[in-house]
Amino acid sequence: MDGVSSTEIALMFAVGTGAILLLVTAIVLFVVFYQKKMLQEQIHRQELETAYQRKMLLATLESQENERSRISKELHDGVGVMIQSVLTNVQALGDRVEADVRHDITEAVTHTHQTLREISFDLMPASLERFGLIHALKELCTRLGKRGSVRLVYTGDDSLSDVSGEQQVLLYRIAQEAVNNAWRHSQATEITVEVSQSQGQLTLRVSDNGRGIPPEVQKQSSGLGLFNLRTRAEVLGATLEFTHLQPSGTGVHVQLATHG
Amino acid sequence: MMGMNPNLVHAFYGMLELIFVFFIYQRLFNNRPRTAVVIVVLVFLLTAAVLNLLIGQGTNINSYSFTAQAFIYSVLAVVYFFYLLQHPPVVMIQRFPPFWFNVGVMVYFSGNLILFTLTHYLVHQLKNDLMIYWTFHNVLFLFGTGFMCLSLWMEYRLQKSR
Repeated sequence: MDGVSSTEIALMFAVGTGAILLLVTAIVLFVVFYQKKMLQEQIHRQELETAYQRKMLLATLESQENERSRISKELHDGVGVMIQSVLTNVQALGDRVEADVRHDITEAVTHTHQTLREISFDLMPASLERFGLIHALKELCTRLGKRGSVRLVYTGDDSLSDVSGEQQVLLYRIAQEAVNNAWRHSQATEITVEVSQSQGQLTLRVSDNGRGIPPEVQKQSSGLGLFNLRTRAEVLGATLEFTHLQPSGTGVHVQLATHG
Repeated sequence: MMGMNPNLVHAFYGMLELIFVFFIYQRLFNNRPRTAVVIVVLVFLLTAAVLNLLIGQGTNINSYSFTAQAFIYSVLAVVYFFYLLQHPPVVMIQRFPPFWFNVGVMVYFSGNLILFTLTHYLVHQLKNDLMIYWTFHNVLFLFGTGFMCLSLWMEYRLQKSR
């Protein structure tokens, strides 16, 4: 065989084929690991994007709350004082105006003042900034309880720890939205608001004895009210659950991890 | 009989394989390039293979055709891997059946590239009886087919789970 033995040929083929197979293995491993790396980078990018979106949402909500607070104070301390002064002037008119007319004007101005105070409170309760979430929720229950036939009750802790001002505002908005939803749509006769804190977990529960939210509405979350609840819970980093209560009613359950 | 290809089946099988592999890859590349382009390339390659059979290597092992085919399939396999990286079809690429089909193609054809290239030299210069050639070829064939079977089995499992 011209000086080349079978063993040498076999060795030559073995080396050549082995080298190519090694190259193939390297290519396959490269593809698998590179794809894995690409996937990890993609997940990392998505996480960054989600965090950025959350930050943007938080900034939007913060500026919204600041604006609400500003308008609320403007209404309460500016326009409210002016209306109060109009009322004083009307009462000071005395006999110069007929009693019926004075009474009508006084009633209209008082009604306007009351409405203004309610709008101001809905925009941003002063008690939330001054005394915190619990006080504001109690005030919400009292105020809404006076407006109609629905009984509103606050049950739960009297103080909170390790909950920042921003978190308290977001929790208040969730409770306010849930109470308003129950108030407007559930035909409930009683709404209960409860805040409790134990073992580093804060729980906010708003429950009513109304007709409940149909499951398809819960899933769609097309309503602005439910969307707002979900968005705020997401920004807060809290879990939000809707439960159907027995015999009737809905429970909105928010759970937030705190360090207290 | 040394270096002869007695029944010519192997040569015709190579041509049929060319058609199958080209159309399989056309499907894998999401029907690109267009069928007309694939047919033109196939006609060109098949004509070359037929000419090699008729006036070239004849009834000997048609190693020139097989070398060209093995080279083309190896390039196709490498390009398909990069295509998979650019358009990942699933989260875990190793759970995608065509990935293993491609591994099979790459192992068998790129592994055999050296064998096919050296066949003519082996037969005519070294007067070797091709025992070594067939040994290596068949081992690579086992690996290649094994990966292709794995791909088929994965596809079967996937279809079953749907």
